[in-house]
Amino acid sequence: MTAAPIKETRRQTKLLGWQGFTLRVPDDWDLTGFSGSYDEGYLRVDDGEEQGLELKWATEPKKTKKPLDIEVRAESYLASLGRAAKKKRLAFDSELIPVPRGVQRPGREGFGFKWTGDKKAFGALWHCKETRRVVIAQVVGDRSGRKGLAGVSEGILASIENKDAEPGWRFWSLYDLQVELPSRFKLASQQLMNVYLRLSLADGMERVSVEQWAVANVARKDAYLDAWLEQNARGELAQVRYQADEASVCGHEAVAMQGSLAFGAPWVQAFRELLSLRVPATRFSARAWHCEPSNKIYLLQSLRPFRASDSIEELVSRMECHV
Amino acid sequence: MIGQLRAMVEGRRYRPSRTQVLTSRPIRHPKIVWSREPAREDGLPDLILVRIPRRQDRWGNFVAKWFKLPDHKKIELDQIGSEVWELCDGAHNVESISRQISQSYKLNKRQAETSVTAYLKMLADRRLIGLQTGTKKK
Repeated sequence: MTAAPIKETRRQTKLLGWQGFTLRVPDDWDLTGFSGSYDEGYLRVDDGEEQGLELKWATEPKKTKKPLDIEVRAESYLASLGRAAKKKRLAFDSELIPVPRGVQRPGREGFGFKWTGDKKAFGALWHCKETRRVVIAQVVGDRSGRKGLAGVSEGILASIENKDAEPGWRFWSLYDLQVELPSRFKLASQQLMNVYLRLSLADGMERVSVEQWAVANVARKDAYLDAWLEQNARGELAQVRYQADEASVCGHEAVAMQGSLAFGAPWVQAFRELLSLRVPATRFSARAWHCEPSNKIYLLQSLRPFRASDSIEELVSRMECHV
Repeated sequence: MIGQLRAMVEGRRYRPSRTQVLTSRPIRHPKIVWSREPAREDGLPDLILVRIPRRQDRWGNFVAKWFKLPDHKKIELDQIGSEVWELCDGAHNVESISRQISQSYKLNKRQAETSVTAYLKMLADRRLIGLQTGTKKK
């Protein structure tokens, strides 16, 4: 007699990263909303139907007159939800519980909570002493708690890390775009379109941007990669003159670009920065490649001051274009 | 149906839910003639050419005669559009079409869903397709 096959009951998960947070969510969940910055912000990831994770954070100032009372914060958060439900004339029930075991970390102090109103949620609120971040995380689902809401929330809440996994490097992800960038860079702008994603980060005058085009085989057809990029790339590439050479990234056909600011408006801008006693970013380097397994085109660009070292190779090596 | 009527009475635009959209089955307009045309260049895929007939009533014929209008308006669909068009047969629902597009072009599920629904909406706005809801008739 042979043993019965073991059923695969665990749902597949994927790693998400945003503003210094990393977390694991079910494979079919995607980022659907975000706002704010590293210091204060909001993030929503959901399955497009009924379940989703909401994450809110705020950083406490270094010097405060009153010491932070996390219990008061948790109670006031639940009270505000109760007031909102009362306005809508909905029955609302909430409970503050000890912080779930999976959420506990050294240096974290907080509480768990659950509430039922028009929906049901399991969550946790904590203060991280190391990053001085106050985080509210809750997994919201149907009022009945179907689709294993309690189990799903337990797994997600336990996976949330509110600091960079590797000191100095921050993980960012947006749909299929996953990239690790130096944590000194702050998100400056982003663009989310159906088949085009762009993350642009800045540290003073230094800038890094990552662009991804999906459905590359249709978009590019048989055009040369550098010629195609010249017509389609946005961001820094439009402001520079460069020399393109053939290269290879992870075994894919790639283009390596090196250059400096183009004449005209970019130099005027650089001169203005110089007048405000800041060293302008004038050196440009980029790598672009067509990843056939994922059918995507990637473009990683960096614009840096004259004396800053070129880190484009390291950035490329930390990028995962396909599994 | 009830939702549509209620929206009409209340004077607001009816917005179907995500589930309603994903389970609806797009079907091509029966009067539209279409065919897969061979690619103009080697290595490029065959694309679909849709021929939309003009009005054949007295007024339509009068206008066509005076302005020398052709009998058909031709629209060439792109590669992905052609694939979606072929799947608009009343048997596939929006969810299965977007799943198929997601697999063939290695697109994220959510991105494929958004692209396909936007494209189907555009086809429906031009009355090239209709959306069937409810149970499938045998």
